[in-house]
Amino acid sequence: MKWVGVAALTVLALVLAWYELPRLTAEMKRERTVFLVITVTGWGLGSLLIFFPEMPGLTQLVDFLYRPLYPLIGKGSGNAGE
Amino acid sequence: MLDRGKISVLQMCLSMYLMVGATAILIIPAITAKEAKQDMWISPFWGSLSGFLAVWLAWSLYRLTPGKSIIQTGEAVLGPRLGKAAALLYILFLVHGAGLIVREYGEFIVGTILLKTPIVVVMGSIVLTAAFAVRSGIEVLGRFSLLLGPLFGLFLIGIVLLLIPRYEPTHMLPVMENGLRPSLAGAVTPLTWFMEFLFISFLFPHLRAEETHKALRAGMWAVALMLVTMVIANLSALFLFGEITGRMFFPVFNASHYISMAEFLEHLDAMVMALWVMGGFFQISMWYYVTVISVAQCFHLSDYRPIVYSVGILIIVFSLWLAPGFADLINLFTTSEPFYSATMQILLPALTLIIGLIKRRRRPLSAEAEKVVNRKGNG
Repeated sequence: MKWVGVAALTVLALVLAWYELPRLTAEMKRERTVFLVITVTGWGLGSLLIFFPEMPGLTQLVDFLYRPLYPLIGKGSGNAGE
Repeated sequence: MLDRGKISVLQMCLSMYLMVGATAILIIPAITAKEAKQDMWISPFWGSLSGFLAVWLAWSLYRLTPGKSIIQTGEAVLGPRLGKAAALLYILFLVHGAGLIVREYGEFIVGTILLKTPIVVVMGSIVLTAAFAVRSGIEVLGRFSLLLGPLFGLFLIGIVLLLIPRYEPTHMLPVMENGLRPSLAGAVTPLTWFMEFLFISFLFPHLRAEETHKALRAGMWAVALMLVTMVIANLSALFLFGEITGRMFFPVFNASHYISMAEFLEHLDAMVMALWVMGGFFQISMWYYVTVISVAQCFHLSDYRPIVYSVGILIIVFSLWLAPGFADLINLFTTSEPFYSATMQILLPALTLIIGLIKRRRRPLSAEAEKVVNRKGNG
């Protein structure tokens, strides 16, 4: 089942590339690079998520960064459960 | 400019209202009610302060570098390297924010009507639809806001009015039983939502030249409209459910189940759902648009359209990555999200503004900025 997901995502990415890349002329090199980087990032992250749904990400990073401030809004301190 | 579309101030006002609106009414009342209890209707007043501040910041930055969005202003003020770093931070935040909203939409649909559909399918279809809107540009979005904004307002007023027979206004008593503290604690999430008005910065450059002077006022009106909407939504949830509002997920939607007029007007939830799908669609389109434009401006692309679909995939991936379940999502809103939003939508723009003002005092930022300074001096 997981491989089906990855296969679907791969097909999606390939269709996108097939649709967009021919429209980008030779002068639009930067556009092509950005397109490829975003598509590959999306494909890679998506595939990883299919196998490791609990993979730590931005949520955990942001949580780590701001945790010391939580008592300011009444979270993480003793009276949070009230 | 990437997108040559032009919009009117009214379209800008309604677009911003709807960009924040749909989820604000759907999710916030419950979160606010947890902390503020019967004072939940006071919280939006505190919350709106960040909205007014965000619009003012966006406008001040726009005045500093006319014709530019915050991404480009950042680059003009902070220099190419720091500016690009700031832009990348914004992009990350925007993808995260867009993912958050797509997820909220998905959880709402999957949690209320399409109970057996995988959430990816629900989110994928709305993002695909939004992608078509984004590719059509700001002008189409602006016109759609003109169509949807009044409809959204009318529907909301309709729900509220039709529920009047069931209201128990005594639920709001005693007002401020424990002083200001509960309402302030409940304001944390509204504050986070209102900060999103910073992204009005991406609409300023598309205003028709003769209307630009009305931009600040229109932005403030959008915030005020949102404030009124939230107060009304919170009040009707409070009057109907009292303190149990805090234990629901979507109180205003649940409220629409209770509409029953003369045994004729009943089961309006399907209508309400249709409205929310449209509102959600517009909200997602706006976030999506701003994200795509940020990427295009950051990397100086000549056209934003080729990357629209790829960014969509990224948004869906982020929306799934955010949190395992809906409860974790709500937890996010009451812990890290307020701080993350405040850093990106208030602190960073404010810092940019201060640096920009100091720099301009020494020497004008660009030819454009100089022109404005001269014009002001002459006028």
